[in-house]
Amino acid sequence: MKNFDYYLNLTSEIGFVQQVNSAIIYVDGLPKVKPEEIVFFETGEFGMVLSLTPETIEILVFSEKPIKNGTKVVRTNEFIKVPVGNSLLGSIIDPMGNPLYLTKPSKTAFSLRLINNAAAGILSRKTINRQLETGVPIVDLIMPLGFGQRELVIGDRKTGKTNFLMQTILSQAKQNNICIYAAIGKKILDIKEAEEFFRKNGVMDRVVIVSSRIQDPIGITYLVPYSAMAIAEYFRDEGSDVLLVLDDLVTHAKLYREISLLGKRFPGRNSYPGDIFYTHARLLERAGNFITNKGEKSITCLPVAESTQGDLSGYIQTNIMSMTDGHLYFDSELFAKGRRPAINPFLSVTRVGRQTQSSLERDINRELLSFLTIYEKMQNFSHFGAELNEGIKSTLSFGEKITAFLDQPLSTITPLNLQLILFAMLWNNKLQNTKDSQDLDLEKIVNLYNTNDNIKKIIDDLVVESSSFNGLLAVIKDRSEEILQKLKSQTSV
Amino acid sequence: MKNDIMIYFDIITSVRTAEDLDQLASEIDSLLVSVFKTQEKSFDNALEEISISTSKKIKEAFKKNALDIENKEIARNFLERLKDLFGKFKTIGLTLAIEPSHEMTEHIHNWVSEILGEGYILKIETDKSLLGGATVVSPSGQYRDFTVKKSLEKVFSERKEIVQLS
Repeated sequence: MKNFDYYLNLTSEIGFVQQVNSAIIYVDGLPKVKPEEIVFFETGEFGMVLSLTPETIEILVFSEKPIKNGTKVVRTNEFIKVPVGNSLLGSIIDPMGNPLYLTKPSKTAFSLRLINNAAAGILSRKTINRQLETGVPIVDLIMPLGFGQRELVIGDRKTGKTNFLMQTILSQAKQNNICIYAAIGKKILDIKEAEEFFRKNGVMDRVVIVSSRIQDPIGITYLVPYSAMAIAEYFRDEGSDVLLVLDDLVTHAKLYREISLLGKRFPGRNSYPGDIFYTHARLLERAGNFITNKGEKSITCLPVAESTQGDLSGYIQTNIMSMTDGHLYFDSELFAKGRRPAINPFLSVTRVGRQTQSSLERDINRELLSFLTIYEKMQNFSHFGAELNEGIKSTLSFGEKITAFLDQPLSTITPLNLQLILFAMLWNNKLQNTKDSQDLDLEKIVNLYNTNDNIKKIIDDLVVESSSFNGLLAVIKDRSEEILQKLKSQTSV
Repeated sequence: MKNDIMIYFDIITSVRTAEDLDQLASEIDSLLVSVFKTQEKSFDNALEEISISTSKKIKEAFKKNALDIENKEIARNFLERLKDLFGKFKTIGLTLAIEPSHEMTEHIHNWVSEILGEGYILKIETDKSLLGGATVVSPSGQYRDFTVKKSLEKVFSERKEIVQLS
């Protein structure tokens, strides 16, 4: 930003602060000011035009310092932009692009990109057709996601939503995709923890954290998701698939409500303003699978919404549900039972994820879902205390193995092909996988798969050669001993 | 009482600057308080306690328009209507390099009235660094810089090489 006099001479317009209402400031003058234009105060602060009336201009100010009545204001003829460039990778920035902590020296090779862009039109979009690996079996096998999908992650607080998001980012970053984590109004400790997790796993150089702290002015926090999306669009245009996590949009909605109420907008349901849907819809509309100059590239967006006492029918939650292509519901009851991640597959939805699966994956998806439905029913039945026959007992014990298979520690991400083979072995009763006794250490197998080309080739070939689940089961039946032996011998070393 | 805005013409046209307006507004407020709120004095007596010029103008306005100065209701309407008109003034901001004399302010205001009509007041500030001339801010917020400082800066930036050589 230049100085006050520069903009005054450039635009030849001036305004004066008439009223200050927390982060909202009313100004008169500036006859040609435009909505969303940046205005500059003589004291060095700046703000963004929220709305205009014939008499006054409503400005959202991005400053912690109070602004006094009578302060001079100039317009800049500029809109809010974020610096973008490859040097952003590995840094933690605020929505204006300033590094929050000096964890990484900022480089200068930046270009500027508008924060509020219009969403791309239908002609530049493409059907979602590639599966996005989260590395979490319950999602990849049951609720698959596609590149360019917008999937809401919803659940009560402390149900493991952030852990799942960290795993997904880790999985994508390891596949050399760009991940952007937008932390909206988070505590410094939470942001630091996320950073440490990425650093520990060696993927920080593929991650950008766009963040505001809880003590930042609301104007700054309001911009976080828009800024993160602009950065995602930059990396998409540069030829990368981008995963964008918006954590969380309920906090963002609350901040926007605060801004609107300060601006004396008429309150609607739960005191949210009438345009709260538009505020989020115009943001999420910018994600998707696109045809770019560098081929088919996507922005996969995972907005987060916190629910209260498992209530999925909250205003903001249902708004975001209707904007997204499904949701993953983190169930507090499942979490209390020790399931990690505590995703409830019966209350979760993926609208476009299944179309990205191969016929083998779709077969497994169908089998697994129908088995889990039966298992759930049997579990409910067993609660009555009736005497259980052998069939029910074996279903219940097999169900236990399946749920243990679907559980996964935070630091582990399981490659999809490995998930398919392990699941087929489990289905064939070749693995005695229960909570108490596991044949194989999952972490070691994953390591082996990632480091041993021979093992990787065997597993990948098995998946590629099988066009159906029955076909895979038949092959596994013959070769499971050999594979198990190899896995055990290598992992026990 | 006549509803004609012209009964206030002399009072309004005597207001030239934002300071004049502030002073007049505070005098009208004190009149309203002492006559109608605390009811300590008659309107005629209360007029003695404000500036002579304002008091004279109000009395003349009553006389000229045949208004009964003893009638409290008429006086109250007169003052409240006058107070409402204060919000309709349009302010032109001027920043000068020197403190303008009374005559100079009057001269500028007469010129503004001639060009733009009545209803404009001047808000004058001084800034010695301007060296001469003035910056002007229109009521809508248009800003123009006619200062010596800007002219000199322009000369220095356009003829940078010559200035540096000398």
